[in-house]
Amino acid sequence: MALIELTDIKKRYKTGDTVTEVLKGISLEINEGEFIAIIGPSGSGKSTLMHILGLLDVPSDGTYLLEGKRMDDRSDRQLAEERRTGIGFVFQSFNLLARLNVLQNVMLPMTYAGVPSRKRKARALELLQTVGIGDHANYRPNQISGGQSQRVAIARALANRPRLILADEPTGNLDTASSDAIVDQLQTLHRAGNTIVIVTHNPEIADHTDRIIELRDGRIIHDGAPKAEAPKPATAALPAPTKQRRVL
Amino acid sequence: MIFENISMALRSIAGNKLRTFLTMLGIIIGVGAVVAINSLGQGLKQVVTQEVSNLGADVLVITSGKTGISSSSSGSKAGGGGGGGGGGFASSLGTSTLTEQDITTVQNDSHVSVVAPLSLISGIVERGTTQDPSALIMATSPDFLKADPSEKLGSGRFLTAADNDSYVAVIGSDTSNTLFGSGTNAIGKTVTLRGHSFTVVGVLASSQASQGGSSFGATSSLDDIALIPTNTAKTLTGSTLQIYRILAQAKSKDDVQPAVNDLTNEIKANHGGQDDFSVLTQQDILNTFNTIFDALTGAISAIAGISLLVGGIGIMNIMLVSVTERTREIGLRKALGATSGMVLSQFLIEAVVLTVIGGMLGVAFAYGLGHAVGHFAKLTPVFTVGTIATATIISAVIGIVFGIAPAIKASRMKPIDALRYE
Repeated sequence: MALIELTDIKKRYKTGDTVTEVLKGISLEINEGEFIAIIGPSGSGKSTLMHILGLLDVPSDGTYLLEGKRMDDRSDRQLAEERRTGIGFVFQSFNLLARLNVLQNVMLPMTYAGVPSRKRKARALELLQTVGIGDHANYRPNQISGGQSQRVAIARALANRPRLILADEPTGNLDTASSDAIVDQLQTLHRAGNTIVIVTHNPEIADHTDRIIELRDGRIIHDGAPKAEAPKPATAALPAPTKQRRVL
Repeated sequence: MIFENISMALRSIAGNKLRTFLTMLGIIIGVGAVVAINSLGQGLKQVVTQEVSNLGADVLVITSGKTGISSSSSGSKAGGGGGGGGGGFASSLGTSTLTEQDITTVQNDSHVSVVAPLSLISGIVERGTTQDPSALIMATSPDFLKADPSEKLGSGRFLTAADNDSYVAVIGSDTSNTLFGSGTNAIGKTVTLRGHSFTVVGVLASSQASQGGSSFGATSSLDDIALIPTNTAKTLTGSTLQIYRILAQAKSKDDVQPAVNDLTNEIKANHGGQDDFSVLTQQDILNTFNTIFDALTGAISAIAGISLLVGGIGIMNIMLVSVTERTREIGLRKALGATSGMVLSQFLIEAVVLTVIGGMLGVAFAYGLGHAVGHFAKLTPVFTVGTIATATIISAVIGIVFGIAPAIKASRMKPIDALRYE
């Protein structure tokens, strides 16, 4: 069974009398352990698709199955609960809370999930070590660089061991060196078994993934391995996903 | 979760100190004013209660005129009259309605042990060229000190039966100080009243500020007075005396109410059925004071409470601003899995933390204000645990009432709209 199964997903927005259909029937499957890039020009619907995948928005039509369970008919409250443990978000603008320090930012999703305080702290420290900024736990977000901020955001996304990590232009606000480091980081997570979907308009970033889904005008126009990729055994690169995923 | 919300709220308060303080100011002033007024009111009540209690529970005071605070049994309806001022307004303007016959009536009552009439004599107390124009001259009987246990003799002796027609006087401590200078023993010296020389035989003890209660009411004491024998006073004025009031001591506490009932009926009969006098007990006076003070404190508190309303609106305003400013934060929290209820409780708790801290600062402000005012008004404000608890609860309620709308606004934000907000 696929981790995520979208069937004929449509999304319409109403502005006054005009109805704009942003997604015109998207069907795709995402399997556990995949590393996917969703690309497309602005206005192609990739952000909307990401919001729907991330349970931040509901489709107007079509079905969404997450681990076989319908998600398109859930209440706001149920969606919040699914997001809490099911999805880890990484945003372009990091979205760290300025009043909390790095450690507390990473602990936040666990707070909502009701993880006891001591466990939260231990896991947050461990995650910060994993992304390589364990020594910055007590810094404020405004005291660290953009690259470091995005690492904190990645650590936060991993906090509740989500089934899917959604990264929306994760390198959009970073210089090349930091970008590469973040992409490396995401690849490392992927190799450890995490399912990752990156939304980007940057083909170079997309080329680091195993599968590219290209959108245009609300439809998928291409779905497959990166074209310029040197022959690479796509499946063999995934070392026993389900078990190792729990390491993080 | 609640703990996280509180620490989150405290962080947000600490991050915006000036704004938070200005927002809280309404609550601080509102709670401060209400608490200060109540504590001063309590302080005043305590002083009055203390003073009236000094009268003793078994003292009856019969005054001319209807005071409206007389014993329930007399079924009064006319208003007016302070606790010891004596008499309704109209009757207090004319001559006293109490007569010599009334004194006899009181003396003959089986529930009464000691009776002392007090009559007001016009005139000025002098010693040579030194005058004490504020001193009252009163005629009374030797039983006065027994009838009014709140008064004590300082030195010398009180009037006796043997003094009946003598020109002797007992003076108050202030009068003694004014005429003879403080520290000088006035016993044996003479004062002049209406052209006649009186030998001072005794000086009353100075009443302490806190226990200056007397048969004259709560605030006046007998510190500035000259007391002379009744018969001497009659000779001096050449007419019947204006009986200011009659003090009577019931035989026991259980005799108080029967005495009130008897005297009310008997004096009414003396006066041809006219209800133109009052028989007061300590409890009547206390009850009246309490009623007046409670009403007054309540009314002023209600006015001060309006500033709490204004303070609450200030809280609501700043919380609405805060929710808008933190739209992205709300979006992020929702994306991380916070439900609407969690966001709602976060902002509601923040508002409550804001008002409760404001309320506590308000109590501290009231403590300072109360003691400052108390210092000048010679009152000790009373702060009870109950007052502080009530202030805190009211503050929390204000936080809930005025914080709920901003919190609902925050909770209803859609995560994507909130995340997109710039």
